[in-house]
Amino acid sequence: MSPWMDAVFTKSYPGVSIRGELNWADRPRRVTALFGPSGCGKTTVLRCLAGLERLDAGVIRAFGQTWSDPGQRIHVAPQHRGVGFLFQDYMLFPHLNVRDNVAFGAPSQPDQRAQVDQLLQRFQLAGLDRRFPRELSGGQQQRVALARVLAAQPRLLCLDEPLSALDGPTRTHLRIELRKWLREFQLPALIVSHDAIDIQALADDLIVMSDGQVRQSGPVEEVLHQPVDITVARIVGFENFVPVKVEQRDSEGLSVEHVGWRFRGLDQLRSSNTSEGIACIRAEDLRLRKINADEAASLATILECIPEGAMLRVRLKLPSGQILQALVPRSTEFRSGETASIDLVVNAAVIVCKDSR
Amino acid sequence: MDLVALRLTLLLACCTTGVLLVIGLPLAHWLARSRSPWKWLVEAVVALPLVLPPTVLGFYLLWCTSRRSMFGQAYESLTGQMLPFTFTGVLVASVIYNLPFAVRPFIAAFSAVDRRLLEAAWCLGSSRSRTFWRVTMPLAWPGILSGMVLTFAHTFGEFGIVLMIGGNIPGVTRTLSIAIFEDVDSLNYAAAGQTSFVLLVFAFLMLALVHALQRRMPQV
Repeated sequence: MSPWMDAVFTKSYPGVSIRGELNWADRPRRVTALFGPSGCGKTTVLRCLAGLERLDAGVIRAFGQTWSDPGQRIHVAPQHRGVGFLFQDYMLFPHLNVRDNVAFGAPSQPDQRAQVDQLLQRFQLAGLDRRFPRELSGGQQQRVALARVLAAQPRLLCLDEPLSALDGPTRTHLRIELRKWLREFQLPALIVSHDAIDIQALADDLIVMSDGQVRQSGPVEEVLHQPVDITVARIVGFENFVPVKVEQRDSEGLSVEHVGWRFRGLDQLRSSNTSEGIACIRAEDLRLRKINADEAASLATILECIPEGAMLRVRLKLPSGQILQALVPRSTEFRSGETASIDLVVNAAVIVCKDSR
Repeated sequence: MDLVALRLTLLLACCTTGVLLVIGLPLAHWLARSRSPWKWLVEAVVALPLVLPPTVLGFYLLWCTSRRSMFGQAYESLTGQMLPFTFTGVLVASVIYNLPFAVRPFIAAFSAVDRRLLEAAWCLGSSRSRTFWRVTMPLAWPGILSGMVLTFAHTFGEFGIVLMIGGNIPGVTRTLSIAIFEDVDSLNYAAAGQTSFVLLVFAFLMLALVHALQRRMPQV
C-alpha cells in the first residue's frame, strides 16, 4: 500500500532554505504537529503542502496523486488539493456574513443550504449567521473559520498557529474546543505551533524543525521526553545541559556522573563506545532540598530565585561551576546563598551525544 | 455657459472613465500582484503622464497619428479619417493622459486586499476568477470607484492635451476648459467666470467624494 502522504522537498528564500520531510504510511487520521522556533520554516511546509508555494526541488505525493514535482513541471493548484487551510488570523472574508463565509467553499449541491445549516448548528453559530466577522469574538471567529474549512469537505487539514493570536483564558478555552473538533471530525491534520502546551493538547505525533530541517519525528510524548540531540532537547523545553561521564550501561539506561553527582538517564548516545555525553534535564524535573553544606556531594549554591506563576525558578551553581535551573513549588522557601541538595525525577535525564547539535 | 461644451466634456469624461476601467483594471491587478522583473518598466510607463507636460505628450501623439506615421496611415485606411481634430483623437489622448490617475488608485485598492484572503478562497476550492469577483472586487471597490471619480474629474479639467490633439472645434473637441480659454482670450470674463465657478464647485465635490471613498477602503 502506498503511503497516503510522502513528501520530501526544498523551498529556498534569500538566506534560508527549508527542507520538508513528511511520510505517513498508516494511521492517516492522526493529528501531527510541526513544532519549532519562529522562522524555522514550519509555515512554509504547510504552504507548500497546500499549494500556496511552489517547490524549488523535491516531490509531494498525497492520496495517490502527485501534487508537486518541479522536475516534471507538476503543480496542482490549491483549489484541487482538498487541503483545508486554517490561517493564523482566520482570514474570514470581512464583507461576508457568517453564513456566507461558511457557505463560500461548500460544494454547489442541492442540499448545500442544509449542509451549511448543519455546520452552523454544530459549531454553535446558528444565532450568529447574519453577523459580520468584525462583530465576532476571537472564539466565534475561530469556530466560523473551522466551519468554513470543513464546509469545503477537505481531505487534509492544515492549521497555522491556530491559537497564537489569542492569550490567557481565551487561549485555554479555545485549545479545549479545538481539541474537541479535531477528535470529532477525524480528519488527518497538520498543526503548526511553537507552544508545547498546544502540541500536547492537540497532537498525536510531533515533528520538530529547526533551521529549515526536520530534526526528529514520532509520537508526541516520545519526542517531548526522548530528544535525540541537544537542539531538539532545547526546542522541546529542556533547560539544563550538564556534561557527564558514562559509568555504567544497562538495558534500562545509563548511570552517569558529573563531578561527584551521580544519576541515571535515558540512553540517546548513538554509539555504545561513547563514554562522555550531555545530560539534558528539564527544570521541573530537578528536586531541591535544603541541606547543610557538608552533607552531600550533589549540592549546589542558590544564586537567584525568580517567581514564575505558581512556581519558583531557582538558579543554582554546582561545585563544578555548572549553572542549573530548577522549577519548584512556590511554597518552598529558598534564599540566595543557601545550599541545597539536588535530586532528579527517575529517568528524567536524557543523555545525548556531546557533539550533537 | 456653453452647454454644448458641457455636454461634450461630460461625454469625454464618461468615455475616458469607461475605457480606463476596461484597460486599467486588468493592468492594475497585474501590477498589484505580479512578481515580474519588468513590473517597474510598466509602472514607469503608466506614471509617465504625471511628470510629462501635456504639450509634450500631445506633440508625440500628433506625431504618431499624423499621415506620415505608420499608425496614422493604418488608422486612416481602416476608418477613412485621421485621429487629430476628432472626438476619438481627443478620447485616445485623454485615456493615455489619465492612465496614472485611474491605474494608481486601482493598484492601491488591489494591494490593500490581504493576499491571504485570496489564498483562503483558493484553498476553499474557489477558482481565480471566482475569487476575483467574490473577494477581490467587493473589497477593492471603494478604491476603484475613487480612481474612477479622479479620472472623471481630471478629464473634466483637461486643457493642454485636448488643445494639442483636438484644437477648438465647437461640438467636436471644444471642452469646458477650452471654452474658458477662448472666453478669456476674447475678454468675455463674465462667461469665463461662470464656467470656472462651475468647474471649481465640481472639482471640490469630486475630491470630497474621493475622500469619503478612501475612508471606506477595507481595514483587514
